Amino acid sequence: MFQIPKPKKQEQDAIIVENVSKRFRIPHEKNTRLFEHIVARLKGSSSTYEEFWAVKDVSFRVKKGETLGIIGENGSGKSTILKIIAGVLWPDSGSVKVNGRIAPFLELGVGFQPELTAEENVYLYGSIMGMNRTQIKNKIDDIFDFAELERFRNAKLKNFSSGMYARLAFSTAISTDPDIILIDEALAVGDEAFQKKCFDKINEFRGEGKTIVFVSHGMEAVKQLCERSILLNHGKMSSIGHSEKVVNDYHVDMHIKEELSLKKQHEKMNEQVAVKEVLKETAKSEKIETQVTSAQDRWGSGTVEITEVKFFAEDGSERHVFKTGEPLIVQMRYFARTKIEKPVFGIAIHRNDGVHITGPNTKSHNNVIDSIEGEGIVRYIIDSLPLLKGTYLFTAAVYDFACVNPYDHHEKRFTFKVVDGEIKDYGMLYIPCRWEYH
Amino acid sequence: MYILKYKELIKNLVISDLKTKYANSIMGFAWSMLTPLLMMLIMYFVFNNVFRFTQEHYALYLLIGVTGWRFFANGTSTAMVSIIGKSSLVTKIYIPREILTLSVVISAFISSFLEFLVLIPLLLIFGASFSLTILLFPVLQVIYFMIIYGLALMLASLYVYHRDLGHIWEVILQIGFFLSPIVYPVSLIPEKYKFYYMLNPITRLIEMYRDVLLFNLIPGFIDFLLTIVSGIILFALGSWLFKRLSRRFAENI
Repeated sequence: MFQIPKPKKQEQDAIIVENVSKRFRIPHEKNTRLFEHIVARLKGSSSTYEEFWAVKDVSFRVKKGETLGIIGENGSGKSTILKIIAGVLWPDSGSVKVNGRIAPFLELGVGFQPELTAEENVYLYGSIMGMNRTQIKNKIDDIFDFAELERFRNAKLKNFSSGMYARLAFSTAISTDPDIILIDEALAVGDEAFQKKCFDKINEFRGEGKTIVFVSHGMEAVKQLCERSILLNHGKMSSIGHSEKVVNDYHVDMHIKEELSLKKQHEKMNEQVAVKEVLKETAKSEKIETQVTSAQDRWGSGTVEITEVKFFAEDGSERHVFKTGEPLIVQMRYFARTKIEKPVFGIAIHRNDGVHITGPNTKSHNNVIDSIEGEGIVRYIIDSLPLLKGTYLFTAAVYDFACVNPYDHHEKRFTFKVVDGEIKDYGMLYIPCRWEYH
Repeated sequence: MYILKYKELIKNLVISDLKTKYANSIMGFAWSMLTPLLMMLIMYFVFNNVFRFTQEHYALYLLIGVTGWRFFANGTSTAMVSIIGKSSLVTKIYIPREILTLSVVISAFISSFLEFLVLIPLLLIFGASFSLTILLFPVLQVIYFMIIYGLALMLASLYVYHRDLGHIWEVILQIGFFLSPIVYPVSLIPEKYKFYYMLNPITRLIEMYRDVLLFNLIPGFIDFLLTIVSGIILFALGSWLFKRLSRRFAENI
């Protein structure tokens, strides 16, 4: 008689993270001494630390055999969540459930001792990963084979290069035959050939149905390795789903952030202009001609002033991050103190490494302005932005007709960025073109 | 149970601890034997000539007391820094953190065992006789281990948060040395304090070591009961405290 084995109730999820939050306390002054601690308590000032939530209310599940990516900026809580899953950190609230044997690659070669030989270190490291002597013994040849360090088996670890060290550590770590692997950028070790080997090994693990959680800054690697990803933003989960979508969300987030910081920078520039306006008012009352020459990146007589420069998108919203191929509208406000005959407005665009891309003006484009007086607006309009991905500096100026004497010149004072849109070419400029082949 | 799963690691940690303890000095293990012997000699001259205790086999009485005390003093003070000293195994990888403290206490246990082993020929040389009561020695050593491990868990986990515990514990060890019957006989203690004095499990254990090694006596039932119960209580308390405090080890080291 034999029994038909009953299928065990299979756990579908390898990792279940539920409402996990982690708070870090950064003491202003660390009260590690018991005495100080008691004094602080007595004073009632126990809150001599800064609190912040490294991870806040994060929930996700990783299915068995799935590869999950975790992306986000520095300090978004990626490594913290990985350490919580690994058991190194304890969540302040919420729970983590792990089904299976876990191998955390948070850092490679933990516990390696330079005075021991490579082989002794493999035994030591293996035991840290929870293996016993026979298990390691059975695998030791494979370990050295994979690390390509067979020749150095009995060499002391202190004589190893950092690449050899990392290879030995990686090879030992993967030999533990884990069900779940946590990887925190640990793959940035060794030369290119070894990195490829690691990459292949991870793909092999995926094929074997192991569960992998992969934290990375490399968006391409994430897209390539992970079916699903989560995006962390200041400890909160802001996106989860198909890696392609999450990576895209990450880029959008980055653009929003960049937009904000550029906007701030831009406002500061325009504020400086406003300060000059006040100066001008006082100058007016004192009937003294002022020179707007204080700043290094701004000069001119001040008879005409460019009081504001703003970038707009097609829909009229103010923007600082544009996509290649989008329209870009630059609006300059001016104030002419007296009637000025035939002024010339000009602009220049430089890439942030100094390359001068373009520098047109109203005169060279046969837009002769008869005269200006008081306030007004000049717009410089690009229907389809040909610039490719990069950071660009914008110069705005107004000169006399001979283009010799500046009334006001803002040198590279306004920054905007271009990101990939429909067009993602290499280089600096998108030049409209056609291909033919026969 | 984590001890079984990580027995290889525990073994490695104990061996490397013993290695650094003994291999790094020229005379190695001899030192750990010489220290108690020298201490015994000094105390023997001081106390025998100054205080004139009327204690049978005073030299051996002292030696057993000192050796017994060393297990406690070494075990607790090395265990206190066991977490801090291996910080990378706490912050960069997950292992049950008790292992770090456990392996240090095991190493102190082995050292103490060896020290007692060397003591046995000395007992014979100095005129003591043996009986089967010596078979109880390992039992005492295990009870002692429980007490020390329990305390070690508390000290190691508290030390992560409060570093001046090191100095405090040093003072406590000094006081404890003289509160235990190491250099003087218990008979010196006034009868009205004796009840409280005998509540200290270390006192009882040191007396029990002398019973089985020197006086060929089987320690009393009450001695076993009290020491075992305090061992269990300290172990339970230590484990509980350690479990709680170990959650924030990684961020406080």
